[in-house]
Parts: sequence; structure tokens; C-alpha cells
Amino acid sequence: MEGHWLCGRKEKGEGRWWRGGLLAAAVALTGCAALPFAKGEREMPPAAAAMTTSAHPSDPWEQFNRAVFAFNEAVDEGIIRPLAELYDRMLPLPVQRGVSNFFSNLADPWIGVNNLLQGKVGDAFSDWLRFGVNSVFGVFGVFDVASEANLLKHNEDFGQTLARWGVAEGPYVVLPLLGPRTLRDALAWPVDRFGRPVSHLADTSQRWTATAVETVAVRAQLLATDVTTVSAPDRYAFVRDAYLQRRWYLVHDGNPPVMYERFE
Amino acid sequence: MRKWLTHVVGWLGAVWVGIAAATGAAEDPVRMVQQLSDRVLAHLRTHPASDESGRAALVALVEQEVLPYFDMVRMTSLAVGPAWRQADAAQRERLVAEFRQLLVRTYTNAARSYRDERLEFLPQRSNPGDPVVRVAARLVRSGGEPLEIQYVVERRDGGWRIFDVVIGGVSLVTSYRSSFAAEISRSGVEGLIRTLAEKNARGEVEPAPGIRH
Repeated sequence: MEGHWLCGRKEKGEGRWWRGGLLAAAVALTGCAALPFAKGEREMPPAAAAMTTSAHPSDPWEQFNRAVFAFNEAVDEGIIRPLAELYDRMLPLPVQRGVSNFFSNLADPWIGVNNLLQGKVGDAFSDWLRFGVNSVFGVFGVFDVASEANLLKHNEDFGQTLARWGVAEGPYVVLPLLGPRTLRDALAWPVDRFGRPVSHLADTSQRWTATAVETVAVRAQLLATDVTTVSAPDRYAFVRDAYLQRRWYLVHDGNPPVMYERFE
Repeated sequence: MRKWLTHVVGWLGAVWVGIAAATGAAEDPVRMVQQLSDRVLAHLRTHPASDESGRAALVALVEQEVLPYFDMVRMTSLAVGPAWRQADAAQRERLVAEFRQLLVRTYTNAARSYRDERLEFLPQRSNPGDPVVRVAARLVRSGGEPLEIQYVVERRDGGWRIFDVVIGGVSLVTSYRSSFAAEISRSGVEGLIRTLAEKNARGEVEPAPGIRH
């Protein structure tokens, strides 16, 4: 698909509510106006396109993205990873697991809402049942007893719901602190934010504390996989490709059409 | 009566052929993958890869018993992409050697995070006779959605060889493609080989980031 539909052209669907919102948010988030597609050309000439991108069709904003990626890496290196390592060293594994389970459980009702919005009613009820079972029998979600009973967790969010509704993924974009997104998922993020119970805590400091603990807990779980991205010659490109493959897979509920070429 | 008899004989024949096919264990990609993963997981339960000696033991196991079932040439060609065609035989050999080392180093390291989760094999979606088969399994984890692992297997030299592992939707081989392509367009195939060799050499001495069980 063409990466730059959002900044480039006028289309029939532009009057729809989400298009307008998307456009405004896109400008706010990515500084769209400063980008080469902003002036309403339909497409860039191929030569120019080849010069500004390293030929990845989903990454027309690569320069901007690389800068934000470097910033995020620095924040991770300087603050988040050290905290995650400390957390990992201080807390025994069962405690870490309890913390992760607690936040994971809070996310299940919203996952169910997204399954419902995508027409997957059975999955939606399974998610809500999971939430009920884990909240009651798993002591506020600290123990994931539902998974033991084969009520397995799903991975859904509003970005995937938009995909189901036919919204194209748009260009790849790296957001400050939040990391890799497709434009569609970047725009879905505030909605997912709203779907989190933690966002509705009245007390600001509680809200920030919960978010910080969740972030550190998630990062601690990922410590062992750091080496995976370090191994690639170009970390940025590796993370981008892995992220786009992952989203493609999730949007297709685990059955994306994949073709393997033959170069031998 | 005669017609009925031919039916019975026909049925028996069909059943017999079915049994013969099912017992050809080496012929069955699902069983091959299952045996390999059982082997590795059993090893990890008794020898966690959390420290250097645990990792070395895992590397030895993978080298001897797992990698023979991987088609490293096909994997490397898929990671390198179209530029594979420009590489000569000697370059290809070095690319395969470096990529192989990179994968072993990277993923034996990631095995540190394995914590007795259970691996379940999912029903096969392919048909007998397919040249490429995806053997799907999932790692059921506490507090997270199950992580699906697909082993992409191809018929080769009378047996089956794994040429990709897709973990949670991310391909072990093709996710390296544009990172490798960028290196090739900057400094050629030789440049990519050099970078990989440097990374591998450095990886040997790099201390494992602190993680504790």
C-alpha cells in the first residue's frame, strides 16, 4: 500500500470523522507539514523518493524516525533500562510475575471491547470472563489462573480494530517515548489510553506511579531479548521490520499471507 | 456380494497405506519439529541457560543436534535478499557461516528468558503433499497472550528441513533483510560479511546483560 495517503492527496473519504481527526493528529504528532508530501502532490518523483528513503516503502519519514529512534534509545539506555535492571535484581521472579499479571489483567476488559468491535463476540466474552476469573480467583489479577484453565489471553487494541474496519496502516512512524507505530496505530493510541483503567485514576500521582511501574515491569520482561536487536548491523531497520511484521501478523490474527522468495 | 467384497478390500488397502504413511516418522515434519523442541526444552529444564556455562552447554546441543535440521543456506539467502545472487560461492559460504553464528549467539542468549512455560503443538493447517509446511506451536505464558512459534519446513533431500522460525509473527530470517540490504548498498557484500564477522567476534566477549533467576 502507498505509505503517504494521509498527507498527500484528497480523497472521497476525507469527510469522514476519523479522517479529519487523523489528519490533525498526524500533523501534531509527526510534523507532517514539514514533510515532502504535504503540499498536495500526488506522489514524489521516483528519483527523489529514492534519494530520501532507503527504499522501504512503508518508511517515507525515515530521517525523522531515525532521529526519534536515537532519542528513545538514549532514554532507554539512561533511565528505563537501568530501572528495569534494578527491578529485576531486587524482586524475586514470582513477585515480578504478580506485578505483570496485575497490569495484564487490567487490560483484558478493553481487549474484550476491541474483540467485540471487530465482531469476534466469542473472544470478547472470553476476555471478560478471563478478567472476572482472574480478578476473583487470582486475587485482583496477581495470579493468572484463567490461562491455567485454558482461557487464553488475546492481543487486541484499537489499532487492530481500525485495521479490521479497513483503515490502511499508513507510514511507519517512531514516536518519542512510545516507540514504533504505524500511523494508524499512533492515532489509535489515545483511544487505547482511554481504555486503560489506570488512566481513570483520579489522583495524578497515582496515575503516574502506576504507569511508571507498568513500564518498568514490561521493560524488565524484555531485558533478555535486548541482544536480539543488538545483533543486527542496522538496529533501526531491524526494529522497524520486526515491528511491521508483528503488526501485520496481529492484524491478521496470526494468519498473515506470507510468501518466501527463492534467491538460491 | 462380490461388489461388497471389493469395497472391503479397497478400504483395507486405503487404511494400510494410511498406517504406512503415519509410521514413517522421518517423513513427518510435525514429528521432527516436536522431537527437536522436546530435546531442547528438556535440556533447558535441567540446564538453565542463565549463566555462561549453561549457555555454552546449550550452544553445544544446538550445534550438534538441532542445526543439522536447519537449511542454513536457504535461511541466509532469505536474510540477504536479492543481493544473494551477486555473491560468489566463497562469499556465500562466509555469509552462511557468519549468519549461522549470529543466530546461534542471539537465540541461545534469548533462551535465558525461558521459564518452564509449556509448549503446545497446534493442529496442522497444511495438507499432505505440500512442499512447504508450517508447524505451529504456542508457548503458553502466565499473564501474557500465548506466543505462537511457527516452524517453516520444506522437503529437501528426502527429509524435511526448517528454513524459518516465525516467533510471534516476526521471522527469524526476513527481519534481517533491510538491515543487511542497507549494509550491502553502503559497502557491498564484502562489507556485510565484515560487519557480521565483527559483530560475532565482539559478541563472544560482550558480557551478558545482567539478568538473574
